[in-house]
Amino acid sequence: MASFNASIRESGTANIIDISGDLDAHTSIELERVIQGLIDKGRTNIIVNFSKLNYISSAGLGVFMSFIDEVRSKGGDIKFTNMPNKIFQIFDLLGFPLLYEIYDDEHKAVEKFQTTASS
Amino acid sequence: MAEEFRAELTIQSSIDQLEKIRGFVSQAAEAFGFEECEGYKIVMAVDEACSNIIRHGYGKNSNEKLHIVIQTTDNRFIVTVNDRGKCYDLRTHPLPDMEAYLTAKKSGGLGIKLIRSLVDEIQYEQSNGENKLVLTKRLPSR
Repeated sequence: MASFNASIRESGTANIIDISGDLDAHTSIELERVIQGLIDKGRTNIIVNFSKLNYISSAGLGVFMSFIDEVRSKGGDIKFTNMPNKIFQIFDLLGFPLLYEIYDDEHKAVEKFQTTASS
Repeated sequence: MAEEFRAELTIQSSIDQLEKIRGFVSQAAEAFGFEECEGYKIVMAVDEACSNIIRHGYGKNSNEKLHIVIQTTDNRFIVTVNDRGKCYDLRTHPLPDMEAYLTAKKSGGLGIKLIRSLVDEIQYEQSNGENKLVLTKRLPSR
């Protein structure tokens, strides 16, 4: 198995998934399992922290696309933070910043969920 | 001028081998002189191409092989992928309209778009049951 790990932390109303290693056609099923697990528990305020991610393939990108409608329909969102430049360039190339909020700093994404909850 | 070299790798047609392919290309790209973001592009293009060959060309049959050759000349980093799976010329594949794609929140089908966006040249030929895909990326001029 390629080196990939996804672990969950909570911060305020947000559920932060720290992803590390390589997210490719082989390992993307692990991230699917983690996000589906959060949705099943009604935890749809999701932040994905990319700071330790080395690589993402189109299969990894597809995981976020496959869940975004369901998460938003349940009042939540998937936001991205701390994305290395080499990975951001791929998101940017495909126009993903039009669909997803991407923050430099994880705290800003957490605050955005708090603001949304209190408004 | 970047150092010239040639390297080869043969792997089984299994998606758990993609990490090995990326490591092989990444190391050569760095040695050639690509900066991190440019190196990432050629690594990703090769990864997506090999993933497609394994999943679609070989139909996930892990008993087959892919042979990858990296060659460099002057400012060109050339990766050739040879396989004996179903032939497919990705240069003719219709690309998604990304605005419509994102609006419809589709998933999948981005691999070929990425390959075609990330390299400078794509060549493909098929003969005697062997497919040969050549992806070329040039070192950006400084």
